[in-house]
Amino acid sequence: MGFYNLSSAPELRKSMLNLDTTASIHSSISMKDCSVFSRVGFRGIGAEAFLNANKVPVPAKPNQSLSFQEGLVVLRLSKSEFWLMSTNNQNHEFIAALEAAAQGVENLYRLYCQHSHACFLIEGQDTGTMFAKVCGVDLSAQTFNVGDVVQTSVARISAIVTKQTQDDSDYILLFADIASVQYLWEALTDASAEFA
Amino acid sequence: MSGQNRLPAPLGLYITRDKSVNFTFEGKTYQGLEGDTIASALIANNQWLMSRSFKYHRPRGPLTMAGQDANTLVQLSNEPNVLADRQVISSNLSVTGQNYNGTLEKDKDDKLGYAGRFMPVGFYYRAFYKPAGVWDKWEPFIRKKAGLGFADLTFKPVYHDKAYLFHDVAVIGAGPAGMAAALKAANAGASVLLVDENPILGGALTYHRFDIEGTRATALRAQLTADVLKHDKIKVLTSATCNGWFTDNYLPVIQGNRMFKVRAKQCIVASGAFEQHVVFRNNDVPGVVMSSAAMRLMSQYAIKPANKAVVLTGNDDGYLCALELYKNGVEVPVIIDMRPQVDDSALHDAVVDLGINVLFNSTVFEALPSSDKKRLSAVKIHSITGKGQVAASGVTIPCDLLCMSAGYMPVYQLLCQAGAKLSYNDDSARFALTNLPNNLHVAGSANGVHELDAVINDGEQAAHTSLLSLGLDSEAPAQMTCQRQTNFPWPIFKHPKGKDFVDFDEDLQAKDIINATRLGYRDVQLVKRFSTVGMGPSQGRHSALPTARLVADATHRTVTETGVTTARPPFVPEKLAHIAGRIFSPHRYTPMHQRHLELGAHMIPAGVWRRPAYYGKPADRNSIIQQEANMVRTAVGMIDVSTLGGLEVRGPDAAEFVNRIYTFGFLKQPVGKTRYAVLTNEQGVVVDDGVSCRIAEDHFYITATTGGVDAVYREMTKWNAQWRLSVDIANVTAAFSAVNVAGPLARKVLTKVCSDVDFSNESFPYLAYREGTIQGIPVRLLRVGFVGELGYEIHMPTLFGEALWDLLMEAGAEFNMKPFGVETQRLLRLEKGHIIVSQDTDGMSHPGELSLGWAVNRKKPFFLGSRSVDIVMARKQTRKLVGFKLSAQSTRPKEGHIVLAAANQADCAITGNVTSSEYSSTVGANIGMAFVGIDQQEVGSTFPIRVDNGEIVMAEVVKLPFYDAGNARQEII
Repeated sequence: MGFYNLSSAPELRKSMLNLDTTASIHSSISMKDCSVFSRVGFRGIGAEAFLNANKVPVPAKPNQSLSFQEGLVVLRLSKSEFWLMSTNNQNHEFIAALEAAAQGVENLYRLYCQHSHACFLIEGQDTGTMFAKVCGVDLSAQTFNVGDVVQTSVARISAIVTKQTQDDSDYILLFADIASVQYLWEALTDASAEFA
Repeated sequence: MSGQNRLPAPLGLYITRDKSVNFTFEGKTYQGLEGDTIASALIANNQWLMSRSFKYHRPRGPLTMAGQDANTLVQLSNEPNVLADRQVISSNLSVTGQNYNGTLEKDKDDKLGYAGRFMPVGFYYRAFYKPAGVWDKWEPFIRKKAGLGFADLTFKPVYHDKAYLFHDVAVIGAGPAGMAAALKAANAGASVLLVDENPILGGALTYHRFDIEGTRATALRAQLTADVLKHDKIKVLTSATCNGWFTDNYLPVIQGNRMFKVRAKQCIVASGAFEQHVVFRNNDVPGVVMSSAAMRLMSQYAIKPANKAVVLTGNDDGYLCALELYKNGVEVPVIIDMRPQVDDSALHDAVVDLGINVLFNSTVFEALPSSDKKRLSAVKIHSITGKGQVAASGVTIPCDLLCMSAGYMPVYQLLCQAGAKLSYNDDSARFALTNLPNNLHVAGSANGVHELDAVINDGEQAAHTSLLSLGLDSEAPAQMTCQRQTNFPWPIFKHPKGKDFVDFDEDLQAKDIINATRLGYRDVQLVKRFSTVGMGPSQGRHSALPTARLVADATHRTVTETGVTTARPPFVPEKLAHIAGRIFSPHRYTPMHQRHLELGAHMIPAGVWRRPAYYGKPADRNSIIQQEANMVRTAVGMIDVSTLGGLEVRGPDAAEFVNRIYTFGFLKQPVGKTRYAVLTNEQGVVVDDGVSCRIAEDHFYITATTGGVDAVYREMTKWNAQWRLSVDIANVTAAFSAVNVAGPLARKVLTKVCSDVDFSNESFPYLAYREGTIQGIPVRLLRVGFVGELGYEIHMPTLFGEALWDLLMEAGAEFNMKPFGVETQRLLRLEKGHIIVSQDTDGMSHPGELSLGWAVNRKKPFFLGSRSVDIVMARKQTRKLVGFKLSAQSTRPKEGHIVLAAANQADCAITGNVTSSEYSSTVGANIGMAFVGIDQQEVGSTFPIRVDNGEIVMAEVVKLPFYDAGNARQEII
C-alpha cells in the first residue's frame, strides 16, 4: 500500500479549465493550457542523485530550468526539489517510468505537481508587458532570461514561472494552483486583451 | 466656430485645427478644437468665468492653465471637481460651474463676500457650539453650503488597472532638464522611463519664451523631443502624473485609467517650478493670470488671451511674456516691474523699442472687475515705498488681462516626501533642496536653476550621478552655475479693504494668515490647520510661499525657520479606482464545479472556494435540505468534499511527527487505519481537526478543515524546522479531490465501480483505509462516519475528479443517488453532534469545553499545546458546548444568537452563544449546539436564548447525538 503511479491513466485526466465560459484571447499573446500534460516532481536530499542516475540533467542552481530531449523541461525549485515537465505531451512513458523508478528510493519523495498545479504555456513578444500587469517581478525580455525561474505571485495567487526556448522562440511556463485555474486563465486573458 | 481668438500656426501645439468638438457649458453649446481643454475652449470663446470660489462665491477663471489651482473646478455630468484647464473636451461633454446658488453668472450667494468680516479666520472653530444645542440649528445650513460639486450616485464603475514598470532610471518631468537627463542616461545604456503630465514633451519649452527673438525654445524642443522619441532605451509616458515618492523609488504614476507602479533604481526629479502670484486686492478676478498661463494659452492652444494686457513682474521673465503677447497682437501698454531695475538691459531695450512702457518699483495694488464681475477691466498701479508698502495714490490702466510673475517655487513635493529639506535664502529669495536620499536626484528649475543652458547641464549632471550609482560609465559634464534671480522677495501688498488672496482655494486673505499668528498659531503647520491654508485642492502650490513669508514676518523669523507645510502624497487628487485597480479576487473551484452548475446547485463561498450549498433554488432552501438529508438517511447521497485540506507526511520519522502535532496517539496507529486527529495550538485551543490515514509505516495522509489547512501546513513546517525530524511535509489539498458517498446503500454504489477492493464489513471495516482503482483511476478510500451513516470518502488525483464524479453518479443512478450540498451536510453532522471546528468553536475553545477529552492522549509525553491543554482543563470550567432542542413550532435561533444566564433578568450575564442551528425533519424539532454557562449544561434543563427582536426562547439541553445514539448506522453491515 502507499504507492500508485500518479502518471497512470493519462487519457482520463481532464483540465479543470472550462474554456466555454472564458473569452478567447484576441491578442498577440498566445496562451495554451498544458495542465494535463505529463509531469512529475521529486524532493529530498536524494533527488539530484536519483535524477542523475536516470540520466536527467538538472540545473546547477536553484531557481533555474533547462530543456533536454525534445519537449522536456526540468525546473530546479530549491536545492532538493525538481519538477520535470513535458511541454509537448509526447514524453509520457519517460515520465511514468521515472516516477515508477522512484519507488522505494531513500531520501526521495515524489511530488503531486501533476495534479496540484495547472500549467500554461505563454508566448508572444508582449508577454513581459502583460505580466507586469499581474506580477511584481520584472519578467521583461531584457531581464527575465531563458532558464530563469521565479516563484512569485501572479494575479494574487502563488505561481512558478520559468522561461525556456524552442526553435529560437521563447516561451513561458506558468504553474499555479490547479483549483484556481479558471480564475487565473480569465485574469491573464483580461491582462492580455490590450495586446492586439 | 472654435473661438474667435485663435492665433495662426505653428502656435497651438496641443490642438488639431481641422477637428472641431462641440460641448456644452452651463447649458450653452460651445465649439472647441480637438486637444482643447474645457478652459481653453471657453476662453477661445471669451468665456472666462468658469466657477465660483469656495467661501465667498467669488467669480473665478483660470489662474495657471496647468491644473495647478482650484479656480477652474467644474462639474461634469458624472464627476465633480474636474479641472477645466486639464480636462480635454470631448464630443457632447456636458459641463457646468460649481458652487453657486442660482446661476453661475448670477449667484445669490455672492453677497457672502460682504459678510467676510463676520467670518474671520478660524471662525468655525469658535462658533456654532454655544449655547448648547445651537449646532443642531446650524448644521443643516452649513451642510448645504459646504462641499463642492455633486457626486453621481448612479455612477457605474469603469475599468481601471495597474501595471508595474521596471527601469534603471525614472525621470519625472520632460522639460529641458528631464529630457537632457533621460538622453544622457539612455546613451550610457540605462533603461529610462520619462514621465510628464502634459500631452507632449518639452515642459517649459512648450510655452515659455527663453530669448528676445523667441526662437530657441522651439528649436531645442524639436531636437530634444526627436532624440528622446527615437531612443530605444527611453520609454515615454505623457499625460501621466507621478503622484508620490515612496521608499526605494517606488513611484505611482497615473496615466488615464491605469496606475503604473514604477520600480526605479535611480530617480531624477525634474518637475520644474510653480510660478507664484502677487498678493493684492482682487487678485482673483477672471483675467488675472500667471504669465505662464498667458503663454500657455498662446503657444499650446493658439489663443490670443486678451486685447490689452498689463504685465506685473518681479523678474525678467515678465518682459519675455510681454514680448510674446505683443508678437501675437495683444496691446501691452505697460510692464509693472516690482524691482528697481531689470537684470538684462537688452530685454528692457527690446520692450521699449516696441513702445511698451516699463514702470519700476511699482505694483498693481488693486484689480478692478467689469461691472458684471465676469472679467478684469482695469488695474490700479501704485509705486512701492517699502516692504509691502505702496504710495497712497496710483494710476488706473484699463486692460482685460493681467499677467503676474512674482517668481517660482520648486515643485518640491516628491522630493520632500523622500525626506529632502527645502530651504530658502531670505536675502536672495532662492530655494534649495538638500538632504536627498541615495538614488534620488533633482535637476532643472526644481533645483533652482533657470537659465536654459544651465538647466540642460543640470539634467546631465543628475544623469551622470545616476549612471555612476548604476555602475555605468559616464563622462562628467562641465560644471555650470546659474546666478539668475527669479523671485521677488516680498510680492505681498496687503490692502486695507482685503480680498488680497493668499490662497484662492479657501478664499484666505493676507490678514487671515497674520491673524492666525496673532491668535498664537506661530508654527506654520498650526497656521495651516487653523486657517485651512494649503488644505484645498491645489495643496499650497501658490499659497505655501506667501504663507511662509507672512508667518515669518509676523513672528520675526526667517522663511527657512518658518518652513513650509508638509507635502504628502498624492501630488494630485487620485481616484479610489486608481488605488484599487483591477480587482483580483482569487477563487477556487473543485473539478466537479461544472457538474454542480449543471445540476442547479446554489453555490456559496467557503473561504476562497465555491461550494454547493444545496441543489435547487434558494426559495426552496429549507425543503431541499430536508429532502437531501432524508435521501442520505434512507438511501444514498454523494457530496463533493474536495475542499477538505490534505497533508502528506512521509519519512522515517513520520509517525513521531504526527504524534507530536496532534492530540491523539499516532505512534501505534495501524497501517490501513484512520484515526480522528485534533490539533491544538500553544494556548491549548482547538484550531483544527481531520482524519489521519496511515498509508505505510512512514507515510501518513491527513485531512484538515477547508479553511484551516494552510495554517496547519505552516504550523507543521514551522515546528519541524525546530524539531528537524526526518520527514517530508506536503500540502496536497489541491492535488487530491474527494467525494463522500453516504447512506445505507453506499456500499452497493462503490461495489459497482471499484472491483479491486473488498467492501465487505470484514475486509473494509469502519475507520479502515484502502486503496484501489475505479476504471483505472487510482483512489484512496476512507470508511468514516462523516454524517453518521455508512459512508466512504473517496480521494482521487484532481485531474480525475470530474471523471470519477460521473462514474459514481452513473453507478448510483439505480439507487436514486443524488448529490447533496454543504448545508445539508451541516444538518447531517449536527444531527450526529459532530462539531465543525471554527463554526462550533472559537478562539478560546479547549478540548474539555468541546467534550473532546477522548481525543486527547494524556499519557504521551508531548503534543503541540499539551502543557496549555493541561492547564486550561485543570481550571474551573466556565462554559460548555451542548446540544439543544426546541419544538418545531418555536422560533429557531440563529447562529450567533446569545445565551443568557436568566430568562427574566434584563441585565443578566451572557453565558454563551448559539454555534449551529437547523430544523431537523429526522428529529422533528429545531436542533442546535451552543456554548452555555457551566451551570446550564445539565441534560434536561433549559436555558434562554435571545433571538431576533429581543424574543427569549427556552432551549432544552439534550445529550448528543440527536440521532442514532448507538452509532449503529455508520457500522451497518
